[in-house]
Amino acid sequence: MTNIYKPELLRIDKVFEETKDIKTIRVKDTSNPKPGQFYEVSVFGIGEAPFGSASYSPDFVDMTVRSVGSVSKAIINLSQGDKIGVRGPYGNGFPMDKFKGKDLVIVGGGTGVAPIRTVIEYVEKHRQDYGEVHLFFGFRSPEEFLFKYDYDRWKEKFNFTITIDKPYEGWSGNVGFLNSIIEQSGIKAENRIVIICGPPIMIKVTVQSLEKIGFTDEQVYVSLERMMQCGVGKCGHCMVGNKYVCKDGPVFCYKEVKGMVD
Amino acid sequence: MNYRLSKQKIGDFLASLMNEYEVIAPVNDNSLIKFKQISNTDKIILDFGNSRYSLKKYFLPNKQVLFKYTKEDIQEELDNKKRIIFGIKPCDVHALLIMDKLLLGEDLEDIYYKTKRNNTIIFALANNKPGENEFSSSLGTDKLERGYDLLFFDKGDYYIIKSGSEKARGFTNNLEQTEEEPQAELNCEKSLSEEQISKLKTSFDSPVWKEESEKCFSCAGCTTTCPTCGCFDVRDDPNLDLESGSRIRIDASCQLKNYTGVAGGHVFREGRDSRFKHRYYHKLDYFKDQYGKHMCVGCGRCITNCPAKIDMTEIINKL
Repeated sequence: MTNIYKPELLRIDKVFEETKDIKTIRVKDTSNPKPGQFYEVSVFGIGEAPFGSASYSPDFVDMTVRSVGSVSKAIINLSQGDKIGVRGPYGNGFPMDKFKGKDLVIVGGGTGVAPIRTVIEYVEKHRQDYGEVHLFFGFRSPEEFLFKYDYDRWKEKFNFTITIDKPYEGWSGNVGFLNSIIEQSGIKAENRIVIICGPPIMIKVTVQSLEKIGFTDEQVYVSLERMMQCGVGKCGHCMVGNKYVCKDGPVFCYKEVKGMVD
Repeated sequence: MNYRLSKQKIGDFLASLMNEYEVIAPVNDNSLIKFKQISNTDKIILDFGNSRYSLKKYFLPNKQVLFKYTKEDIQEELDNKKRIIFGIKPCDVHALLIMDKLLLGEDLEDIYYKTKRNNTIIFALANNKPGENEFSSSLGTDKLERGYDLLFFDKGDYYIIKSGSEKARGFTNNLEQTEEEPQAELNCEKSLSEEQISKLKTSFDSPVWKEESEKCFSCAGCTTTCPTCGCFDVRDDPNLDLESGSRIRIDASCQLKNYTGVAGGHVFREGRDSRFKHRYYHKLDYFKDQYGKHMCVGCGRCITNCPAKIDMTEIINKL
């Protein structure tokens, strides 16, 4: 019998310093998650928590961790060679097959950019399946930028827009919230799918702006955050209405999310 | 073919199983009827409504070690103890069948629950007396068609016993056979109709939730004593060396605020009314959407154990 609660012990292969309180850890793992899936990560003695995959690779899994909860704080303090427990991947992930033939608008705010990166890497590997791709990233300031080492490559391949919330010394790029930047961008709703990851308020105002442009809720896909413990629909914490965010999500079409009530 | 056992002999019958099994039976414990392991059969209660607390701890303990960890290794801990539970009432057997749906799904089996389930023999006791606040007769969970190994019917001086599984054969070998077909009737005072329950579909914004939740203390007594509430937290319990320890799971309750709290501090069901309402919807609406049957068996324990005397049947009947 397999034990759904028993993690596999994996060594941290690499650590990427992202910002002052965010790191990306890489473990060798061949589970090759779908874009938008997540893992339950254990630091023994502290506990277990869910973290989205930030990579799309058959050889390894990247997880971007912000020092905010007890487990994430413990992960941040680990180094290359240290062991962590990993279970997964869990969740449905983005329905990338369904998006075939569409133009993509990929929107990430703050650490929401991490799950977004799995989508981007997937699209890079299946470029012929998708049309025009727009990336919109929003951060509080340039100090908060994640995956800076990928930006040159993404700029070559996609329409890449990045914005910060408030003016910042030395920054000459976009300033303002993602929703207004998207409104000003002139993108049209026709034949497009929008993927959004970020804080709930950012998702809300972005969808409002998209509606102004002419997008419908059916065109928008989001990844939801909830308290999760087991990751496999048993412990109950992530239930919203008759859905388990861990098992039925975390990716939902916005049309479905609109009817969800806590 | 059924079996017959004189009531006087029930003690000897159970005692004969104690070498091989841990026998759990209803006993009087400080004026409360509780299921406990027994070492002799003197204190067994045979005529009772139902126990104050459910039997879920024998399948999903309120604190359970999942595995022990060291720096290099993870060793899972499974409970292989063989148990017989005697006297479990039909509604509580239905509760197990409901938990099976949640925890024994094909691809995502909970092996801790499964092991305990497989190692536990169910000697159910047909209903003829409702538990305090029980309303199982209106939900159809007062009778059993399956889910038991043996089902005992109280006929006054003797029991008629129905066999319900392959496993049961070993227990009936020495029993007298009978053609008598037993029946049990239960009439509960409280009731909950399917028609009334279906009103939940259109009552999410009803003022009833806010009004009624104001009586609630958020003490989690209802979820703690509910036979189908199995929500849990996963925690680590480190040893003093801080390098080894146990991964445990412990009871959690949707009635407590931290249940939906995420790292960073946001709580999704912050208001007591939203937590209060979630329990009713999970029990009587969401679970049916997911698994095809209600998650409530009408045992009445959430009513009995509520310090504010909140009554599930009254609330649903107000909708």
